[in-house]
Amino acid sequence: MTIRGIIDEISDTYPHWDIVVIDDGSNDNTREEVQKTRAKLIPLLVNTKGVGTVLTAFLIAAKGKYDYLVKIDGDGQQEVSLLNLLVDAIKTNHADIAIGSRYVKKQQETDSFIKVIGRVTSSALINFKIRGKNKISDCTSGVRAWNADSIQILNKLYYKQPLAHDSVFWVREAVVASNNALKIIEIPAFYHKRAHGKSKSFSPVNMIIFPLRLLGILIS
Amino acid sequence: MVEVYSVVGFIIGVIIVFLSLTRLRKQSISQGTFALWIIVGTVLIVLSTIPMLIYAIQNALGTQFTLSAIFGISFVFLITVVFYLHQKVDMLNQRITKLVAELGAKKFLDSHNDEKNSFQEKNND
Repeated sequence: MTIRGIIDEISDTYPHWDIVVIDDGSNDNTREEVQKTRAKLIPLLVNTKGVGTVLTAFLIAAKGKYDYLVKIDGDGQQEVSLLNLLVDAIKTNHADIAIGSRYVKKQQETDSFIKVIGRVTSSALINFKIRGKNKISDCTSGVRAWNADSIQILNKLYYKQPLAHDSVFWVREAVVASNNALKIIEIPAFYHKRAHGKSKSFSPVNMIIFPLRLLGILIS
Repeated sequence: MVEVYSVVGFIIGVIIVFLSLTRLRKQSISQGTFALWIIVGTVLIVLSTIPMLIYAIQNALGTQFTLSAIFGISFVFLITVVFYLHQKVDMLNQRITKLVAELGAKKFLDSHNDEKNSFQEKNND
């Protein structure tokens, strides 16, 4: 599914939601496609390798005093119907953050073996780090939702603390959220195979540095 | 007899001191950068004009050749500078990311507020 298809589906399913597309230096026709929809486009001035998009979203949600912030990737891997389920999961479980996890229910893997190993290992290590506070099976999942409390808390923390690299950003968030007594809940999520584009987080260099970055989070 | 590397070291030291002073006068470098490079330039000039100091350092380090001592000291110095610069670049990168995010959010919130205001004005009319 293209970015336009995703936005149109969100528009149809959730007509009262504000849709924001944060373009972090994409080199395809994302901008032209988004301008044909009702979504608001925010082109970032420089490529921040993904981290700037999260910060921008948190700032908008925090300053705009939104009740919920829901995030989905623009590569069409995740189901749009999941967004409402994430918000419902927060409401019904009195949670602060909801994550769409590929491991709550067993599903066929769409990613390479190395990616899966990295994901499972990082989740296991993070669970060891935050033991007792939350239990997370898919700490690198890109589809998630936050309530107003977690938006305000995390927004402040992101501005105070050094930023984590894109590849371990969500891993670090799990630790930061758990240390700040935020409740994380997971719901099953099915991921489609990436329709277009390449993942920038898992380049050969990142695959070597990823365990070291993970170690940094565990030590900090 | 004057060694060639002493002459080269002296010339480089003078150039570093000269450039540091002129750039500081033009206010194109910070006091911190000036302090670092004026020390480097002065050390180069002193070591080039008093070769006995290099031999003393060579003895202290226990290297067989004078050049090895110079190479060793240069290597440690450069690694330190690279480490310092890497930290600076990382810090600046983080600041840029936060600034870019603030600008992006401001753009959205401003247009959102404008839309709200125009909607309210229409309703009032």
